Amino acid sequence: MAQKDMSRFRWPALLLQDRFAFAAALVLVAVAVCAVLGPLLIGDLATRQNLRDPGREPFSLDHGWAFVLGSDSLGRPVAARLIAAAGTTLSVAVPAVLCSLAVGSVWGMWAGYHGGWRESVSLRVADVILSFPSLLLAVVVLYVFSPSAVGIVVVLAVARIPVYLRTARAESAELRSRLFIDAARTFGTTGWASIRRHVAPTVLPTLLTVAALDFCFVMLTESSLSFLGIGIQPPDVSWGLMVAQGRQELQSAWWIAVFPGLAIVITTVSATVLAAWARLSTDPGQRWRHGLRRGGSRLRRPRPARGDVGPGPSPTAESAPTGEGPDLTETPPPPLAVSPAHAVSPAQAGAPVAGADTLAVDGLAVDIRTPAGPVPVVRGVSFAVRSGETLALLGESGCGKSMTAHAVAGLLDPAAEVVGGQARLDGEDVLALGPRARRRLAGPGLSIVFQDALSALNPVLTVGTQLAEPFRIHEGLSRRAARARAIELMERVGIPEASSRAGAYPHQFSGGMRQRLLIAMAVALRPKVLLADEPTTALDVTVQAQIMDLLAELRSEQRMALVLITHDLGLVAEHADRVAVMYAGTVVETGPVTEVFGRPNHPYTRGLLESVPAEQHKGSRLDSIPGSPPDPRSVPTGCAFRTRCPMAREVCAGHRPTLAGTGADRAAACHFGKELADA
Amino acid sequence: MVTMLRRRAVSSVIPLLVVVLGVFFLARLTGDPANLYLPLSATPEMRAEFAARNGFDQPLITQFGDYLAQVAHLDFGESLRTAQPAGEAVLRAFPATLQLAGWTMLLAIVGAVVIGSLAAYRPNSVTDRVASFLSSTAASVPDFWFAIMGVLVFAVTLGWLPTSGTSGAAAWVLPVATLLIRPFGVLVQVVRGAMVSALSAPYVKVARAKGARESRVVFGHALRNAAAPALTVAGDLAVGLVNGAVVVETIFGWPGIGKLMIDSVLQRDFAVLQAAVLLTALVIFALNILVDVCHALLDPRVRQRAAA
Amino acid sequence: MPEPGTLLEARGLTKSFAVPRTAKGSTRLRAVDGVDLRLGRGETLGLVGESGCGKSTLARMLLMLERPDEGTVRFEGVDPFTLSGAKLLAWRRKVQMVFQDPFGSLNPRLCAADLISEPWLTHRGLVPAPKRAARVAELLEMVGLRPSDARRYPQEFSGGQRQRIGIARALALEPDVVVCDEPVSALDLSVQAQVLNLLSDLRDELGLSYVFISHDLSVVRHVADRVAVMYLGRIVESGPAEEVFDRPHHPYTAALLSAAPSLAATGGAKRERILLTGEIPSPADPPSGCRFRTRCWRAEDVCAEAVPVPPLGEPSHTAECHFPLEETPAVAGSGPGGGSRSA
Repeated sequence: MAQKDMSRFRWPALLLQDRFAFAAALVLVAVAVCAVLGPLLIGDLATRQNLRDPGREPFSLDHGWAFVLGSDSLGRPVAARLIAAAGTTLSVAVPAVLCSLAVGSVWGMWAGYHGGWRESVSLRVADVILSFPSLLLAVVVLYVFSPSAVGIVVVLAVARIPVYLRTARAESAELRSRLFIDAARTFGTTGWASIRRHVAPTVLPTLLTVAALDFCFVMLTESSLSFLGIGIQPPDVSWGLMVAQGRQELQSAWWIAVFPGLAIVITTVSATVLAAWARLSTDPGQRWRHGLRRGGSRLRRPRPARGDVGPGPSPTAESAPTGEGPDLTETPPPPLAVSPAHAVSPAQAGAPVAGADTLAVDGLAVDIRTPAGPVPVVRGVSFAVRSGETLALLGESGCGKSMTAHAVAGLLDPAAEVVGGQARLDGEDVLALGPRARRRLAGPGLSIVFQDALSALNPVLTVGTQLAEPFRIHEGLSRRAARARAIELMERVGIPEASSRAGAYPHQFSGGMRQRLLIAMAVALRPKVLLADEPTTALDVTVQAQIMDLLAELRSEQRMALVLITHDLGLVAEHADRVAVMYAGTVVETGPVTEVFGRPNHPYTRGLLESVPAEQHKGSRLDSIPGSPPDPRSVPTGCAFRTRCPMAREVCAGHRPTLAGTGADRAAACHFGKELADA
Repeated sequence: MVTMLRRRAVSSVIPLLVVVLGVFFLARLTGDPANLYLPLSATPEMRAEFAARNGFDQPLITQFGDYLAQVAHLDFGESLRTAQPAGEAVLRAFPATLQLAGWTMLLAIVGAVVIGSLAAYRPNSVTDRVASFLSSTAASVPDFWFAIMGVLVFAVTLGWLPTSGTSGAAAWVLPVATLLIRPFGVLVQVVRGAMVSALSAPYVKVARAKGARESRVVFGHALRNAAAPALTVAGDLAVGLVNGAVVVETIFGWPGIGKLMIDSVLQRDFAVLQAAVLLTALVIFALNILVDVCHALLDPRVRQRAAA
Repeated sequence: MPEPGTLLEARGLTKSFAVPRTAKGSTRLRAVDGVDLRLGRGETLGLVGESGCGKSTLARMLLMLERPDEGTVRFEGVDPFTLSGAKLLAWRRKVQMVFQDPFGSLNPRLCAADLISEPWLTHRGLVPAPKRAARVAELLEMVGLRPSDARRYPQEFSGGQRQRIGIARALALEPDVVVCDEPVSALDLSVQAQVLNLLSDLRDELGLSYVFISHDLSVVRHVADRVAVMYLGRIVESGPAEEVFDRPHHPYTAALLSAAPSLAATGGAKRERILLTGEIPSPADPPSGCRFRTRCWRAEDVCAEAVPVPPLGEPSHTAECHFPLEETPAVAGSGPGGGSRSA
């Protein structure tokens, strides 16, 4: 919570955390101080010739601090000249960057916000400016106006405008299609008002990052120009000019060229590091990634403890939270009491003969590593499915159903980690397998279908190549044989003109066809278990019906076990045999669909069923569950559903209910499950 | 594809004209060449004669019109310095720069793909952090200073490499290294970023779900998708190589087009400067088209959009 | 329900977008093609259709976010596209929108109070500055949030709460018509019901009229008085909600109703369904004649030749079909929640 506020006021603290960025900031501050206070410090030391002291060696304090880095052939101290040059450099780079930032970003936001001809003309102008090497442009122009600091500033500012223009244009064009800009238009807010209120604050952080990088570029160009003799002119001092001067005396006095170069490198590297840091810390996604690194080592510690209470039955874990106040919600929930699987696992409840389950997931727990510590997103999920059967994993967004599927398939993001439980495929725990053994199972054993077929298919490979891959990997078929099998497969899933379309790319297919391709790829090797993660959510209802029929056909044809992950109760009702209802990372109720939907044994299931509009009288108020699903970071203690539950009592806060049998082949994780079942 | 090439070529004409126009007038503003090529004691008559011979007495517009007409016939005028045809001088200098830039880009791209992919494979690992720091440093080193340090260490102190000239492989080391350092540093970062996002895409998960080996996942699935942003930046960097070439060729006495341009600015040799700039601009536009073609080859979606 | 006075009316609205040349050589995508629409005061008009049928483009034209190529929009008899300046602003006040995506439609950099009071920065006279904080608190309470939430940012709210902020913002200008573009499709089922309840409460309290766009038939059935079904840029069927859902005339409506998965049919007891083949053709190359004919099981030669015209005289329930389904019992009962039969 309140992360936004925190990040706004905490950036100096964040800066302190990152030693690199902090050092970089110190360097830049030092350069700025030299630039401002330099003239007071050194007086005319930098320019006064002192022919008694030419070519002094560096690293000696005999002649005062100014000579610590030696002196040049005219006896001018290098250290003092470096400080004076810092002022020159900043007085060129800062105005140049500010000018191009101001002009380029306003221009770019205007072009990007309005689009159309304004956008294309602006981009054309930017192309023309950028297509001309900026150093050469500067050389030519500086010859017109004779070399001077002002000239450099103007030329570099103009030459760099397109960089900001392009960035600001791209970002605001992206914003243009965002709904909140549309919303502003519906109030009548347009043009500059909208740019000022919405576009500018959003685009500015990116532009400042660009400016920091551009600062380096401008500095380097200025010093290159000075080095070539057409930038800063003597008697003014600049780092580039000093290098040029040192080049003449390279063999006799190396230090004259080396130190100003180092000054340039250190300053530019600092600006780059700081820009990279700023980009990381303004991008929440990146910040999260960034946090992984430091979080990593710290987070492993709880693991053994968790492992202890993990898979096995743990009588003490149940009573542990008793007596602790509700303030526990602040801390991550206590170690899980994973359901004593042997007693209540639906696998056992459904099939007395162990081993009949094709896939049995038992007490699966998954954590996401965050800078603030591990967040449990799957908290002891158990379910089982037999071949030829469809099990629906039903739940609302964020309940951990997708994470469960990805964990079983071994496809978790690097930030997520399985911290307990088993997933037995024909009795073998796939979570315990090494990478090589898992790869062998991926395809013939376990397979998965994703929700968004467009992003799940590789955009740059033909569908024929992608469909042939499973055969090439697992059966070692030749390119030609694998392609023939791929075409067969395309025909099987109902893609017309399969042989000619095998050479087409994913974007050339419609949404429904892409989903068929994805399904074809998943069932290519006749997997024992197919995990379908919201396979039709992105599709229209008329196409959804086709896809669900295809899945059902394939399931009975290949005798697969199908795990259908969805939030759609109607889909579950029509297509699943059994259902496991998930809430806040755990299964709260399971059983045959007809029975669970006919007579729910958990108040959450009942609430869900009552929320379906079609089931109620038109115009009447819908029965609904109050509140919203809990954030995984602050799941209530005890029963996770108790804060929204009409039946909640004291016991619900203290004890986390486990999945317990409530009837033949049925189980619910509710203290009042039995009562509901008998009512 | 042909449609795309044609459209790109046509749309390059106007910017190209703008570049020619800009250089023509800017060059005319840099001062009277008569001051440089006639003795100080030259009489007004001599000056007038010089101007008339080179067409400088005509109004600027007329001069520009004449120039365009000449260019259309591939006649770039004569160098004021050497009285040679400007076109020849430019074409003579061009291969040296092209070779230098070609080797540089090749090395930069190959190196960046290898190091960038390694860094992206495990984000925030030690490899990644070392690569990130070194590449950002490389991108920030001023090339002229890097060249001088190279000369100081390898030519002056150690005596392993020559300080100038183009003969022998050793002579290529320092110029290529100097030109290479910045594009290489930038490209490593771009490739890394693109690979990190490609490796977290759903199609990579699907490839793993098929049981593909990690090498196949990285090089078969992710790399081609990551190529597009890297290619765009590589194109921009190649344009920037002209900047670097000016510096490198000046320091190492490389007889290329960068040195030619600087010399003609300093000596107000309009005809050569214009010819050189025109050729550079042409090459840059050709390069942009090449980048677009590569985009189309890598990504079928671009191909389809281009065909439309 | 008595025939209400017309508040918002659209006639012959057409909008096309430029697209890359397609296989058949057309370069215009006709997103909306000759749509007539009428919204009575206090009425809720449901607009149903699958993705790409033009329902969002239609909504954007009603809000002047897009300018129609042809046709007119009239609000209380005035065409807003002829207005400018203060009159246009006054019109803007009357028609507001609730967007589909509660994440994208709220600027993440503004807090709830800024978001809700944003319209007043443009409509300066509406709520004087000193009273704004109180009015924001009032609006927050009206949509079921706490006044203390005013200083929180969108990302601190859940999806349903964000949608409530979006609704409060739309209400800030005291509109007569609110166009809701898929207002609950991004929400979880348990939260969706809360928002639907809120919308119907607000309608009763403030006398709002809604244009309610959704692909979810069960939601539309629940809220709408009248329904218009869109397919490929045209309204193929319209009429009172109960009638359209219980006795669809157009084969597409029937198929849509039949395809929607329903709770009533569980497990093995499969309903007899109309399973359409193929997918929606591209709006850039719509079929000739009747647009639905390529997927229609009742299509005959005439469907390819002539565009079906609904009967004249504006009866309340019309369908653009050459062979409308008359009270055929085969489909009459297959609405969601309607009688389901075993196959």
